Amino acid sequence: MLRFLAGKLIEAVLVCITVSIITFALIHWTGDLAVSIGGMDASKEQVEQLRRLYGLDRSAVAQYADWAGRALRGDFGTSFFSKEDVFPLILSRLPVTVALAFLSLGLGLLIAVPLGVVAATRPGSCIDRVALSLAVLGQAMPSYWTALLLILLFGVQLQVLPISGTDSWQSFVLPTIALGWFVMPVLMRLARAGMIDVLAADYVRTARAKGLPRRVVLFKHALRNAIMPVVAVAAVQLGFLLGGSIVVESVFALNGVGLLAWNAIQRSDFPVVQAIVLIVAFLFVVLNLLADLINALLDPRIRVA
Amino acid sequence: MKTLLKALFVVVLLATGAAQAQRAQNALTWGFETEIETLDPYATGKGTVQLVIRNILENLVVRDVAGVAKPALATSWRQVNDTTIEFTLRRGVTFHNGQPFDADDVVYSVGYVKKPESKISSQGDYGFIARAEKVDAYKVNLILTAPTPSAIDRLTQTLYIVPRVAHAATPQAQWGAKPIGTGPYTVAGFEAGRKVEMARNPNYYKADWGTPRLDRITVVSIPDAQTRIAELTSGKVDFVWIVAPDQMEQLKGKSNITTATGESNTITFLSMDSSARSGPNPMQDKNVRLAISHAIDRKAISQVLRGGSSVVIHSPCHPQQFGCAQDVVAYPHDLAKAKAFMKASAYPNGFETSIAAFTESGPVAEAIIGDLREIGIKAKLDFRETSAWVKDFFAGKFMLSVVPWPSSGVKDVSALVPVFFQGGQGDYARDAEVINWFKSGSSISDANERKRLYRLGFDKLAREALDVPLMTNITNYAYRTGLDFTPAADGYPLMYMAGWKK
Repeated sequence: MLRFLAGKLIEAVLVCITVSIITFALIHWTGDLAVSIGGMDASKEQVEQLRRLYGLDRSAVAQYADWAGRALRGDFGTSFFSKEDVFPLILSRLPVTVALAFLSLGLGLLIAVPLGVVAATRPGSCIDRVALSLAVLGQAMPSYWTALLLILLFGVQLQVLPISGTDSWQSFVLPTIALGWFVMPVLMRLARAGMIDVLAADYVRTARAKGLPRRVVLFKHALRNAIMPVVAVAAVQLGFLLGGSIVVESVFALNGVGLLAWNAIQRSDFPVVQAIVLIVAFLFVVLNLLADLINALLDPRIRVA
Repeated sequence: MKTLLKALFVVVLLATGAAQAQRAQNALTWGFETEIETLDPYATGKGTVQLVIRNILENLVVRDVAGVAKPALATSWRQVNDTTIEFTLRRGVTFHNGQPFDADDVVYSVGYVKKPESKISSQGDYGFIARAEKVDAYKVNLILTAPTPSAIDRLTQTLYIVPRVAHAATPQAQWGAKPIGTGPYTVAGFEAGRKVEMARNPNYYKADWGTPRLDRITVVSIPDAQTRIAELTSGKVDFVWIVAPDQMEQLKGKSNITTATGESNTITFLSMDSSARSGPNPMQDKNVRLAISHAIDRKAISQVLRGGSSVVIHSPCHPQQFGCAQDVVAYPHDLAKAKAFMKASAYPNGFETSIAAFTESGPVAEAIIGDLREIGIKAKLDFRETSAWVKDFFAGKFMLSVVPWPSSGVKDVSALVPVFFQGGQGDYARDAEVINWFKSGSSISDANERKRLYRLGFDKLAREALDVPLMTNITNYAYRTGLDFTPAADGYPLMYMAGWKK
């Protein structure tokens, strides 16, 4: 188990380094901070002066090394525009994104797993068809459109729920539904497919033959195996959600990491983008590690492998 | 079921009552399109955030609703020579922290923006200022880098005056959360990226435009346009601007919402790389440029994508700007002529290209792409994120690009031609004569001679079809009925002048 953990940790560090290098390269290729700060009226001389002041006239390698050295000491720098320290800035936005991510994934799982299990027990039945139709609908409806429909119905017509901001817990209801609806289909399909496979397995047939109650066969023997791919994908989905859903955060005016990243990318605010990507990559790696650990606990064969 | 319906009814009443409550409290909520991360005008790179900041910090002069420069922190000014303007400052003004305002604050503010270490954003806005010299406690000379006929108008949009002691002593991030100015409103609360709460400044002087009427103004960031409209409809916000024409139509039937269309100083034109900055290309062929000029249905684009009072322009400048000559050679929409020019060009069978655009220019580029297909030019949209567009446009990389330009609201072409037609980074025409005429026109004070020189330049731009002027923009507003709001001539809302009707 220790060897397993050590291997995963090395993988995690390599992923973080790779991601930070790719982000650095992409930002420097696509935007020009000096132009962004100087504005469209800025003269060539002013832009050059800004490049010197921000150290952008140095080689890309020198700039990256400088940033990485400071990041290793926990100094992510300050935003070029708001002049705030980047780390506290991201931390201030993280609670909204984290809350939304866990709530929407929770909602997605709450619908997906029971629906997938029930659908798998009666393949081809009416409930199975309803479940599959919901999955198709969920995948076909972009979260932007779902969000707008929810706003129109609950915010404009019925006026029962807030549609922007984060003033109260009610503010999270519509974004959670929009994102939960978005993550539900893939989890439901996985739960259904996994259960169908497992229910046809020999050991389940044996369990049934032994006369075990249906509930025990389903939830103790079958679901434990069928849920593994759901756990792995849920971890990846959570990673995506923690990176911030730019669309949903934008539509519901939630002041989260996604919107912060979007604004920073637009203006080539390199310290902010770089820190967000690194933090999200780190979260991604941790979540994948957790998913691997949970799967290893559920299935001893993974630990041995 | 009845109970549920009753509950729903009560909630609906409460929600609609929210709007009435705002009015009763003499407060207003502005649904703002941009995330406001800082209230420091010298740090934010977002132009529209200045519209919020100007409620808190003030300039030496202010532009009124008609677009005319009026006294603000300066009560009067006089041109000492071509590069010196003497300002007489207002007496008895105090900053929000109680510090009296005087010439030292102006000198400090100018020194701050001109110091490279300040790393201010939008440095180009301050290129015309060299330094400030104190004459006495209430008189200051502003020294310009070169004769700048539009200096006073520019100063209505730039050079926010900050209190020297407090500004120097406050860390920049902290200052950005609660700046101290002399403006009609003080910062009562700030949540970066979410909300700015402003309270009426009880010590505000009697300004030339009047005094603030609202007790509180709250600016709430709602980036999505549909959500902003939904919040206006639901009663959570009272005012939104930059409303799309189709949304204006949706709102027009609602009795509790008033819509208004105002002028804007922004124009849109199609830049063509006739000087081959992006490499040899078909735009070097005058016949191609003439074909494009005739192929684009500018009237339709103006009416459909802008609407309201948007008009087609024939020179790349706003008709309201000093020096803008619109009575030049015009190219009406004429497909037959366009096709004839294409046939006579070096590209009779057309060619493939791309048109660069960003933000709201995207649909304009798409409309042009449709028009150009009619004459065999197969263009595709090269849609960029703003800073990526800025970087490549000013690096001379686009053969064709849609360019919107607000001139910072300045009613003088000297806020536009130096950027696009004086041989700088934004000049794709690079015509020696045009450069000389415009350079001369932007650096002398004689109004008649300036007009003559600008006319020569715009005449040649049109004659040679060196760009395709498209249209003026407009600004759409929607707000709760009962709000007394007057759209400003430059398209920038002056919220400190708004109030609820009695």
